[in-house]
Amino acid sequence: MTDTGGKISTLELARLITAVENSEITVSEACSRAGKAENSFVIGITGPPGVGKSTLLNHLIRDFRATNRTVAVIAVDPTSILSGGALLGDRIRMQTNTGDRGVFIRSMATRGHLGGLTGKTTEVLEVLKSAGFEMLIVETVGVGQTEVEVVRVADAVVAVTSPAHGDEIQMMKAGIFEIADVIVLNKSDYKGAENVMRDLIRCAEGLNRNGWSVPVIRMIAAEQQGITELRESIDSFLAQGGGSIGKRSLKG
Amino acid sequence: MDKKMIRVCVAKPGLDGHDRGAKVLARALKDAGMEVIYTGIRQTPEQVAETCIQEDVNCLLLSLLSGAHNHLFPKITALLSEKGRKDILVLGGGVIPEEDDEFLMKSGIKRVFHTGATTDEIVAYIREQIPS
Ligand SMILES: Nc1nc2c(ncn2[C@@H]2O[C@H](COP(=O)(O)OP(=O)(O)O)[C@@H](O)[C@H]2O)c(=O)[nH]1
Ligand SMILES: [Mg+2]
Repeated sequence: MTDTGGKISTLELARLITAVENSEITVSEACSRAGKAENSFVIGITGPPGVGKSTLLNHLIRDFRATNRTVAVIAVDPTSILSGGALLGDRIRMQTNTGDRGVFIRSMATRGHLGGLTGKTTEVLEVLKSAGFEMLIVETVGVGQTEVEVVRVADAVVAVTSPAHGDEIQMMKAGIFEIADVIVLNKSDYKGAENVMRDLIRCAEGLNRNGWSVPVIRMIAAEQQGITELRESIDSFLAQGGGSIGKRSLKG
Repeated sequence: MDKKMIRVCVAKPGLDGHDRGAKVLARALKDAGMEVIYTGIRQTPEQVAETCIQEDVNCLLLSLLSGAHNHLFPKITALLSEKGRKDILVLGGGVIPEEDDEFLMKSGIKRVFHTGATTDEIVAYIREQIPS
């Protein structure tokens, strides 16, 4: 059994997700088989490739577990247009939660869907909720304006950047920062972190809305620094109403 | 998806830290249109089995250079059986002497690919075993 109060085993849940992904079963059928939903939140973690999203997530999972919440992760990577195949490597950095049945991780390929998610993300999230998971985390690659779809499924969006991603930061300002509820500067051990931090704080001031000031968190995920601060920021954003603040009035 | 997607886990159990071969293979499988879950190096049998269950893969490719295959591969197939996934096509690769094939195949490894096997051969074999 998964440790979620849900009624199905990890094996059954994994198979249900495949069936949903391949459109072999309706979502409502899958959900009724999975169990009964608990109170749950969806958190989007987005940013350029290599910025440290999976590394951060590995520790964030543990922090949520330490505060008594079950966690399911969907890690999305792009499908190759040429071959239709995909290399899903997010698990490389998410191996410390093995054996904990309150954690479920699934890698998904975009399968031609644009916008940063897979065509079945919403459906799979519903199944995971029904299986009783409380914190649902979606890791997606996101930089520019075309990759902001995660905002439509997430109650809280965390945008991650790093001093090593200078070029992307400019694109992120007109892209995923606009939908961010929390900004993370990871790899703060890199040279130039101070300057980037100042720039991001200025940028975040322009994003404040309806009483929520978008925090910028200085992080070294590889050394577990800044993880608890991130978790507390997410929790306080969700406590203030999460997704209902501001951004859900998306244009377009 | 109108056809069944082949999902393969490429895993490196054990202590050797060289994953060039496994990465080349993972990329070749991707280029052949498969979804490849790559776990990285130094995986315990438990980690490999759990990844296979959660990711609902059809195939598991174990790559090992350290010589511990006779010890680790059967542990992994036993865990998969125990967890209800005896049906996964488990293949071995890396540096494995031919005289170990028989033992490994008795332990649930469907086939061992030796040094010199091409990625094309491996792709073709998986396709043949898992019709889509
Ligand atoms: N120096 C440094 N490297 C990090 C940090 N966080 C992650 N990394 C490394 O950055 C690389 C990419 O990390 P990963 O989590 O896979 O990035 P993702 O593609 O955004 O999921 C890995 O080699 C990590 O070890 C950090 O805080 N500092
Ligand atoms: Mg990642």
